[in-house]
Amino acid sequence: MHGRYTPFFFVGPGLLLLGIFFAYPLLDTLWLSLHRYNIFTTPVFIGFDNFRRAWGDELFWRVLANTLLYAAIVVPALVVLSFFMALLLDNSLRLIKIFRTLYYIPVVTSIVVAGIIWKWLYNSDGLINAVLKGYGIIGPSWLADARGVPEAFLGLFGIQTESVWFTEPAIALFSVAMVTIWKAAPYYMIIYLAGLQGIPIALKEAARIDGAGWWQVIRHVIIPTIKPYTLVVSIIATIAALRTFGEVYVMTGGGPFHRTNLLSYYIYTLGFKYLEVGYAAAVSIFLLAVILIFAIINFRLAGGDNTTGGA
Amino acid sequence: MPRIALLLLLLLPLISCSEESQQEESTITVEFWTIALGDAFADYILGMISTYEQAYPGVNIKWVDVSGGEVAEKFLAALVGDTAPDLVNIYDLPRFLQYDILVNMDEAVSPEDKAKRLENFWNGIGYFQGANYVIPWYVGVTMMWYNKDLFEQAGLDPDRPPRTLDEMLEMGRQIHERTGKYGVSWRLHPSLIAPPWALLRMDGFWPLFDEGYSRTRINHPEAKAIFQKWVDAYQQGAVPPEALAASHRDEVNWFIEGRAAMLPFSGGWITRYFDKSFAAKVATAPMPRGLLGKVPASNQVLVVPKASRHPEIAVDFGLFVTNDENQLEFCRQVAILPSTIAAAADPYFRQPPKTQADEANQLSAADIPNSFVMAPPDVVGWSRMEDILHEEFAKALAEQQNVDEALARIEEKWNHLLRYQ
Repeated sequence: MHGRYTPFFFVGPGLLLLGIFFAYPLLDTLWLSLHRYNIFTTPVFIGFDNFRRAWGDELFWRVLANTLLYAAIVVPALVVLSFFMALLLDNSLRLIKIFRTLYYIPVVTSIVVAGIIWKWLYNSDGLINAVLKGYGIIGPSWLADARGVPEAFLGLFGIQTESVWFTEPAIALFSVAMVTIWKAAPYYMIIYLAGLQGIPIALKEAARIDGAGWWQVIRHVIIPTIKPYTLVVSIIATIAALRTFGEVYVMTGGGPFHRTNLLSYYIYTLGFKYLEVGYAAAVSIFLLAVILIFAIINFRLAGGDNTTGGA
Repeated sequence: MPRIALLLLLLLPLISCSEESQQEESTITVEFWTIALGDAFADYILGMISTYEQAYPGVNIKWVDVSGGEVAEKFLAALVGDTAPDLVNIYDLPRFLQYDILVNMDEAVSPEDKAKRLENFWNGIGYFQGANYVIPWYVGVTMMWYNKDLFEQAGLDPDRPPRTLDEMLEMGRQIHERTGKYGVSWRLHPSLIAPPWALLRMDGFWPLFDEGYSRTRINHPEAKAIFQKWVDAYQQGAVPPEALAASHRDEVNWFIEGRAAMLPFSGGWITRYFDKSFAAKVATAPMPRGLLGKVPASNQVLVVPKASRHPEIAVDFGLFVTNDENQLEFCRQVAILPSTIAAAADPYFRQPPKTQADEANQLSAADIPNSFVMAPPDVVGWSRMEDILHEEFAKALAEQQNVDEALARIEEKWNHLLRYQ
């Protein structure tokens, strides 16, 4: 009954779906990246010219730097914040389910709605600056200010600097990153929560009997146990951060002068606005390479060989 | 016997399908896309379609209403997927015009029909290097809304709005100085009301390129003076700081939120967003003039892709949608203006205004002869060039470089693109 081809019938549907929705678009993108193509004319093979062009494209490097900076802000913040949020919600208080639901609301809120609300908060005369004003601080226009965060912070103490080291990240980029963190943290919180609820209570109790305090239990019991979850969160958060589009599209359009322009938005602009589809595909390949590199780094740093723990 | 019955049952849909397909073969379907007209104007659109279909029994018009932010991308996707619609209301035309994918309306439309349309809209945003590729539809001519309360608080006469752009910016400065609010609700990116190149044009600096599009002439003392004026105004608070990184409709929101005192806008339909107390605070005025002496106008257009299966019928239906009668009826339903000569001359636009929207609309209508259509330069690669202009001008606004440096960089980058594209 079971011929040598039988296993293929089982994996066939999955492979077919992967082929259609993953392999084909990927191969097509690779093919397009080797062509000059504007949608309306026949693609012309140009070898690696699109990649060479990206290499010499000042804006591409600017946008790539923005994207890496953005991930550097967002990913650690998400890993830490969502872990502590999960810790906070990992208890058996009576109304805890309501709190878990409330905390999750940003995830299900449309980015368009969230973007509009955050724009109001971020305006030069918005709520955030009104609060700061109470402390005697005149806040910036958070989404339009191109000054570096360190530069502006030093400025609060009357220290003026023109060093390039203080010009990154731009206040506008930092502000967009905050929205991403606000919106995504509850999602990762749920992943951590699943991990926390899988930790045997006996482990924590044993640590407490041995004299461990609150922080020591977290440091020596909880964090090592949920390491696989941290790996998953950091990989997913990195990929999501590197592919961020909605926040930029809704809130800044990449401005001021490309200080919040991220790779996904740049690819969209190249492909849909300039209709330089071949070049957009080449930049997409760069993005793919960056994502792969970061996924491997995450995997190594978080000890990817340790797959126990169910994540 | 039951097997035969089952077979017949299975065959039945096939038979009915084949009858249906025979009917379909004898009917021509024309797909018509509009932008966000939705339920509000469904009766109007369906009424037009019904009238047309009755006049041409073999034609079936399939109406598809697309949301505003998506129409250009959907149109592109349809063209790539070989499912091009036949008649499309579209914006952001430069990226389509340069690829010769649209029907040339100068060739497809008879001189009689052309003569019925206002010339500046016919050769407006759809004009590209010697030909027009669009059928003009409804029009918006810029007038100005202003907040009388903020004028009073700033010590300005609320019955004397600015008459020139310079006055507008000066009043804007005063408003910011005295009230902490902003003067003019304007944004850089991507501005529909007056993008940076239109600021140059309003103050008389035009064209931006030499005749053969071999070089730009933007690095010019006149352009410098105009941009410097806006840079100074921005830095002195005449314009909200968010103008540098704003997106669609932000300028409307800033005005309605009371953050900015003056909103150059294309007519009266904005009143649907006013509540009673806000409506009591605002007034209308003609758009302040720059050195050109004309006000900016924009218009919606219909295009027929060359990939349409029925381009002649699509053009004919497009002319029907935009004829005097249909445009006038549309204008009666919403505060917009027509793009045909007879409709624009209709007494309807000179009736005593009943609402604020009417007032705004009459100011717009009165300025139709004094308007210039905000058509960007018809140069290949304008989308990229415009982004360069925004970037460098924004850096000047944010004091990251001066206007001289901005213009020099724009000149260098534009000339490079002109050489290599």
